[in-house]
Amino acid sequence: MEMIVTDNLSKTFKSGKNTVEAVKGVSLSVKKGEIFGFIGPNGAGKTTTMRMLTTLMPPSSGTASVVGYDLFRQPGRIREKIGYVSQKGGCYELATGYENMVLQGRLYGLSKAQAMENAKRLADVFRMNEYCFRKVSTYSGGQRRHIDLAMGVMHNPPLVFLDEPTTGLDPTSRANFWEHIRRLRDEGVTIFLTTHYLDESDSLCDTICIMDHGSVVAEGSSQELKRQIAGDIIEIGLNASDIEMASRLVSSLSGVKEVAAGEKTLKFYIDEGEKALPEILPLFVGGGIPILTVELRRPSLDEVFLKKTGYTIESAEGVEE
Amino acid sequence: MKTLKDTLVLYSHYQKLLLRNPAWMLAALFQPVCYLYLFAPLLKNATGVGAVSSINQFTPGLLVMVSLFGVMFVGYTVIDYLRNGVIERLRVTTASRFALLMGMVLRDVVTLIAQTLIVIMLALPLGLEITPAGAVLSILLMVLIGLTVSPASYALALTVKSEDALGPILNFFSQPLLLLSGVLLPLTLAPDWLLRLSSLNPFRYVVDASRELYSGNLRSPAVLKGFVILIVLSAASFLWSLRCMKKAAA
Ligand SMILES: Nc1ncnc2c1ncn2[C@@H]1O[C@H](COP(=O)(O)OP(=O)(O)O)[C@@H](O)[C@H]1O
Ligand SMILES: [Mg+2]
Repeated sequence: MEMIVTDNLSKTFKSGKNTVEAVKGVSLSVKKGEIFGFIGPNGAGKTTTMRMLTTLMPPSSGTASVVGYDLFRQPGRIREKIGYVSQKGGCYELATGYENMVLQGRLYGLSKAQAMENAKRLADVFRMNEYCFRKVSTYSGGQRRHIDLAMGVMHNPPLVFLDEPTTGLDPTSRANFWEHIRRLRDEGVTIFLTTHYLDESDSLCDTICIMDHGSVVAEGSSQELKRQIAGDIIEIGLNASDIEMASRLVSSLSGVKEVAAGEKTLKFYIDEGEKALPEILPLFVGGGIPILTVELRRPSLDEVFLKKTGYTIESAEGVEE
Repeated sequence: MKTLKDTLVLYSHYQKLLLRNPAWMLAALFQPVCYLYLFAPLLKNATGVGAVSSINQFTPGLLVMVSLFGVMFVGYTVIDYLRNGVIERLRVTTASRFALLMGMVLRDVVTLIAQTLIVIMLALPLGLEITPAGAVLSILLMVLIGLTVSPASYALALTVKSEDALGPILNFFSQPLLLLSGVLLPLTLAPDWLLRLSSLNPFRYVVDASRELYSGNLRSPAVLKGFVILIVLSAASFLWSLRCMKKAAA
C-alpha cells in the first residue's frame, strides 16, 4: 500500500516581484513501512514539500494523497493519521518535556490518562526519564531531538514526517537516534524524513529521493541508485609513463564509463566491477603495462549526488552558509 | 465538542505556565497600584466634576487602560512560538485553529478579570462606590476589551512575524489610542478639535461606557454604545486572527 502519492506537486512563493519556485513538479510514492529519505542541499525544497504534505501550506499545483486521503479535500483526516516533527521541534520551552508530551496527546484527542500513559512509555523507550521532568529550555541538542520525536509519535500515527531530525547532532547522538527511527519502522510506522547527510540516508533509508533546485533528480534504494547511476569504481595505480596508453586501452572496452586519468592513477566506472576486473587485468599484462595497485570500490552516495547534480553536496552547503 | 475541549486543555496549559512566573504577575499589579495610589490623589483638586467623586471618575478609565496595555502586547509570545516551531506543530495536530487561538485569548481574558477585581478592591478603600450590578457590567466590559485586543495582537504578530516590527507598530497605535480616549482625564476638559479627533477613537466610547457604570447610570445609552462597539470589534478581531492562524508560517 502507498502511504504517500504525489503527482506534479509544485509550490511557488511570490513576494513582491520575486517568485521562488521552491518545488517544481514532484511526483513520488512512499510505501507503507519504509523509511523514505528526502535528500538535498539547503534550499532544495525539502521542507516546503513536507509542509505541503503535512497540510501546513496548500500546493500551488499538482495533487497528492497522504495515508489514502486527498490533500486538498481531507486535510483534517490526514492530520489524524500523521505525526510531524519540524526542523525546530516546537516544544513549549518553559514547560517540561513530559508536560509537552501530555498536552500533545490531548490535542490529538487522547484522554488525560491515556496521554499520561503514552508519555511515560515514550520516556522509557527513548530513555528520557532523566530529563523529561525538567523544562525543555534546559535540554541539550540531542535531548531536544528525542523529545521532539516523542511528541511526533504521541498519538501512534502510522506515518511520521521528520524534517532534518539529526542536523547539528554529534555522530554518537545521530547513531543513537537512528536506532529509535529504525525501531519505529520495525513497529510498522512509515517514516518520511529529510536530511542533508548522505551517509545518514545511505544507512538509514530504504528509499532515497535526491532533490535539487525543487525537482527530484533520482529515486530508488541506496543500492539501486548507486548501481544505476555510477556503476562500480575501479582505480588502477600505474607508472606515470603508462597512463596514456592504459587510458586508451580502458576506453575501448565495453561497459566502461567516464575514464579519469590522474598523475599515477586511472579511475573509471564500470558495471559489475567484480566480474569485469578479472577480464581487464590480463589485458594490461598482455599490453605490457605493469600494474602497481588495484582498487575496486562500490560507489558512495556522494558520487551519485555529484553525477546527478553536477556538484558535491558539501560544496552546496558551503555556498549556503 | 472537541474544539471546546481543546480550548480548555490549551487554556489550562497557558494559565499554568503564566502562574509559574510570579514576577510577571507582580508587574501586572504594579501599574494599577502606582496609578491608584500615586496618581489618583493628584486628581482630587484638578477635576472636581460635579457629584461624582474623583476616584469614581478615575477608576473606570484606569481599568480600560490596564486592560488595553495588559493585553496589547500578548502578541510577543506568539512570535516566540512562531520562531520555535510551536505554532507549526500545533497546526498539524487535530486541534482546530479556533481552539489554538481561543486557548491563549481565554488566558488573557481571565488575567484581565483578575486584574479588574484587584483594581476595584484596591480602589474601594479610596472611596470608590460601585453597585454589584455595575461591577459585573464593568468586568464584562473588560472581558470584551480582552476579546478585542488580544486576538488583534496575535493577528498582528502572526502577520509581521518579528519583535522588531511588532513593538513599533503597537507603540504607534497605543499612545494616541490611549490619549484620545480620555482614560486619565475626562475629555470634558478638551478643546474642540481634540474632541472631534477623539470621536474617531472607538475606545473613547468604551471609556465613556465605563465611566457611566461607575456613575451609577447603568441604563445610559453610552453604556449600550460602548458594549455594541466592542462586540462588533471583537468579532472582527477574532475573524482576522483566525485567518492569520490558518496561514501562519514562520
Ligand atoms: N515562505 C517562503 N517564502 C518565500 N520563499 C520561501 C519560503 N519558504 C521557502 N522558501 C524558499 O524556497 C526554497 C526551498 O526552501 P526549503 O523548502 O526550506 O528548502 P530545504 O528544506 O530543502 O532546505 C528556498 O529557496 C527558500 O528560500
Ligand atoms: Mg529544510
